Amino acid sequence: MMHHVIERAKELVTSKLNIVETADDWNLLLDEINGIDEWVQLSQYYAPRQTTTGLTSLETDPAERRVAPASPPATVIEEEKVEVEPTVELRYSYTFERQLKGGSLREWPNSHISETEIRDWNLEHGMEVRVQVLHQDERRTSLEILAVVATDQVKPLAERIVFEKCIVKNHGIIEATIDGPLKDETGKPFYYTTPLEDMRFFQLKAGQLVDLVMWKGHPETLTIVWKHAFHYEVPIVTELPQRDVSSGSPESAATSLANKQTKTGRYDKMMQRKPKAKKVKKERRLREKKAHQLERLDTTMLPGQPIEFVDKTALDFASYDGMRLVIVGNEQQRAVYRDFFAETGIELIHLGGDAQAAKKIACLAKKTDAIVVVKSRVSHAAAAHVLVQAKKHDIPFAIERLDGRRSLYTACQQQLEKAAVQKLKKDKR
Amino acid sequence: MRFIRHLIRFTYLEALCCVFPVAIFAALAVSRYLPNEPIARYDVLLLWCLFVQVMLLLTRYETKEEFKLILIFHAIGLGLELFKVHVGSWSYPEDAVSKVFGVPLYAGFMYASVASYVCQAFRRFNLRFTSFPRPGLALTVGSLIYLNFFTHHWMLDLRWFLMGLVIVVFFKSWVYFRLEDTVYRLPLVLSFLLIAWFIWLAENIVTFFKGWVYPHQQEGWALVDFGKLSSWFLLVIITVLIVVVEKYRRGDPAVHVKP
Repeated sequence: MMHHVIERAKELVTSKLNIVETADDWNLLLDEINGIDEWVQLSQYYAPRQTTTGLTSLETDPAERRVAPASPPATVIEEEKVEVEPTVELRYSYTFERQLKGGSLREWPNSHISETEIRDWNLEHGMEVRVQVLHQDERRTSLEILAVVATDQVKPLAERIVFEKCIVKNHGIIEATIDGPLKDETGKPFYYTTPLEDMRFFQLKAGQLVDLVMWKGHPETLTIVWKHAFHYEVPIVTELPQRDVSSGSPESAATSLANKQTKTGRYDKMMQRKPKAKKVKKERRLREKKAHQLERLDTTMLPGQPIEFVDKTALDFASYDGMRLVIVGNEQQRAVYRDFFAETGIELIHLGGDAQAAKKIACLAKKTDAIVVVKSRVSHAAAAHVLVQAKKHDIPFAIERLDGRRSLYTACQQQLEKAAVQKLKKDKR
Repeated sequence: MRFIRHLIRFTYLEALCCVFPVAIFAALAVSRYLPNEPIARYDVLLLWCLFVQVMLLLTRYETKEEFKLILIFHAIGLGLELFKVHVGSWSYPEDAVSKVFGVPLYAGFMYASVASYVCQAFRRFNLRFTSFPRPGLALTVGSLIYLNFFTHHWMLDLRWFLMGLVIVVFFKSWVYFRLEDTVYRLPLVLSFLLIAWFIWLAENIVTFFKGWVYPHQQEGWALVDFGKLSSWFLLVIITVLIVVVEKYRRGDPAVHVKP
């Protein structure tokens, strides 16, 4: 036996030596020689040993018994040792054959290669592989793949039909794959009910993905062969922004069609019985103060000096020279307002915020061009008096909460502008 | 809403499956009012059953394989009827040309109609069975049930024991059926009970319309004895067993047998 193995090893080495041309080829040759050496060593280990044959009886001859009286006669029969002819021809490589579940080797009867091994090595029907015995019993010999030697004899196994990534529903019902419903050879949809034994063996739960296989033309052989490590999740479809479909571009039409298809809820229907996921507790959002953005402050301030107020937009009262302005309320600022408006040429009349002072508006109203009422510094009665007179004489007025000077001056400018426009219109008539 | 839609669909499919039984039971009810001449009532019923069977085959309501299966039940039913008439359990007093040993030939169609229902349900509901007992065990139980119909006249009636045996043997068996895109499942024993229940209801309707009359209904219609429920339960089991085992023997993937 070993003689044949060694002869074969020599042939392999010689054939591979002939094709070496470059340094890379030489390195490859060394790897392959290591593999061949390993095979020879394994063959030596598994080679049957040559043993003695025949029954041997130690029962002594009666004539010899007289010569040696000391030893009593004893009969020991040794078990016949028969030369064990190996049933499997030890080869360098074997041809892999795909079965319904797992695989086997064509030249090795009762051999079995697990589905895990096949998927790890991506084995296909017809590949030449090198193997090692993993486990052996009376029923079969489990083998482990050491290397894939050649792939030139690979051919697809059309008789073996595989349904990949089938979605398991409750109670082991399988009626769809991730690509659509399960369909037989005629295109008719069908469903598969997983037997209890397979449910337990694969520990199947709803949402898991499995591969189903069967022999062509034998639907009774349909069975689960593999369970994937991941679960099926309904794909999340994000709605695309509305595009102008009237433009007529095929891309937009296709996209809208795809959106419509994904909105049919087919996957939702398939996973209807999926147990509801636990609601994630919402994290309490801490309220934070809005950060106030500080605007750049343009000032004429010199270091160490108080900030001077700088007008962003300069107020222009020059065009309102000679007009009469009445301010009602906020009499504490009388001097401030008087000084401001003294430079403008506008005649300023400042009335108090009480009703008695505001009644003076009745005699002032005829020649008044604009009225500004500081609402926060005036009584209701005073505001009412002023309002009646303003409407009676059609005088532009503003009743506003004017706490600051700038706001008051702005309101005054606005009302004077209105009065100027009114005057212009009257002159035109 | 989906449940109501499925319920309606279920009812519709069940009605489709019951075409043959309804045709026979309706004929039994209507034939009572027909004159006995020139053709005897039993002969009219036989002709009607044959006509219905032929029409079902021509319209492909039933397939040839299903018809072959139903023929088995003709034999089973007729054999049971012959024995029951012989021991005096019931009788067919009217005269007819198509009577054999006192049993009209249309009697076999009544049992065949139950088988027709089961075969139709297989196809229309896309039935599948899991953890079904091995055919040998299932047929043994079925044979015991069938024999008990004969032997209980001389020996102890073992029907309740057999019902318990059925529950034990079929405890882990499930039947799956499909309605639109949803697959439902049901314990097989429960499905036997429900089918027997509806057959008992149908029997009440037929006796109400005087399709046949039990002794306690001679004076007026009364509810059919609840004991009949057990008889129908056992008969349904035999029917389903034979259909399922035959399908398994032919390699139908709808049946998965416990290893």
